[in-house]
Amino acid sequence: MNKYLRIAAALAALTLLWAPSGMAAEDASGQTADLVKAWNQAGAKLVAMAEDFPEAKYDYRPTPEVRSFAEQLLHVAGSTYFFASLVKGEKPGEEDLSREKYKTKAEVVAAVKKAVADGEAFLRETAASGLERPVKLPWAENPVTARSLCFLSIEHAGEHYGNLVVYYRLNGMVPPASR
Amino acid sequence: MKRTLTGLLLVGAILLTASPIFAQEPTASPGAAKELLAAWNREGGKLVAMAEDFPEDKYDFKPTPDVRSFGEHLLHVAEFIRRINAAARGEAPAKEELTREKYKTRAEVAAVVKQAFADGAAIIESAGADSLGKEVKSPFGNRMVTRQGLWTGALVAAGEHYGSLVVYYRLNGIVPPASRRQN
Repeated sequence: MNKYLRIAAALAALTLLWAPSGMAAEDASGQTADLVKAWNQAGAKLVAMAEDFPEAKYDYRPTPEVRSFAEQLLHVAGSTYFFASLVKGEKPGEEDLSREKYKTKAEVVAAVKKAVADGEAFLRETAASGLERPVKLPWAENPVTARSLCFLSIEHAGEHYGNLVVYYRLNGMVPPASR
Repeated sequence: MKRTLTGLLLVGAILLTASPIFAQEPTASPGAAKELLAAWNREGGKLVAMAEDFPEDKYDFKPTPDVRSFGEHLLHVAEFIRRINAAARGEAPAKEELTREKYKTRAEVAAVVKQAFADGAAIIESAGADSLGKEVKSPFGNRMVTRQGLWTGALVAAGEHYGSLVVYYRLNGIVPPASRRQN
């Protein structure tokens, strides 16, 4: 094989080795960073609410059949681990962390903070192991991708923040992010 | 002949190495756009379902005097989504203010919400994965964002508005459409 042919073969081999895999393509588009940013923004707003809302009103609920302020926060925190378990292929635990276990405002705040931080780590791990990875959901026949669950998890946090905005207003308070 | 073949192989290898990863082109996998679209349609679909379902005579309900009514909330969402759509297209935001004076009926409000989400879906679908990492001017502040960052942020914001309207539903003793399916 002459010199040029060897160089050509080496370049072609390098190209194949470096061809964008799923993960490399994600990183090139910055998707991991965008998912993490959206998650952290939604999470920070929930943490700010948890820290700000008066502890005496933590069990407030606008109607009897819905979650109280604290239960909403514990639901978002629990759901983070629920979604993470599904992506990891583990048996998920309860979607809601129990109010009996997290009695004080400080305990609820700490749980929400931890869930937001763990959620970021989970998003990064998921992106590193492939957002296209199929995930089997216990309630659905067809698997979804890990990316779909990441979107769902972020939307879900936003929805509960939206719930709590009205809880704030009904108590005559302006939510921290709107001040 | 042998030289020509070697030259061709060399050119071929160089062309191959000019793949997106080498050129630093912001590409995403095809699934990224497809799943973003599914999430967009899911969140938009839930808001459209509410707009079509909530009793028209309660459209001006507001939980407290200082917040938007149900109808105003939906019009605000539509206006917000229009701004996102314009930014994704690289255009200036639409000037039209969506007010209850202009959109009087439930059908009119539902239609404008539906159209805003449908337009967004069409942009995501036609642009595909290749454009998701490309930067556009944010409609909120003087900064650049990737298109997928813009869409992901809009998804969260749509979720927040949906979440608020869920409480409007409950305060009226009505179960939101998306929660009925689970009951």
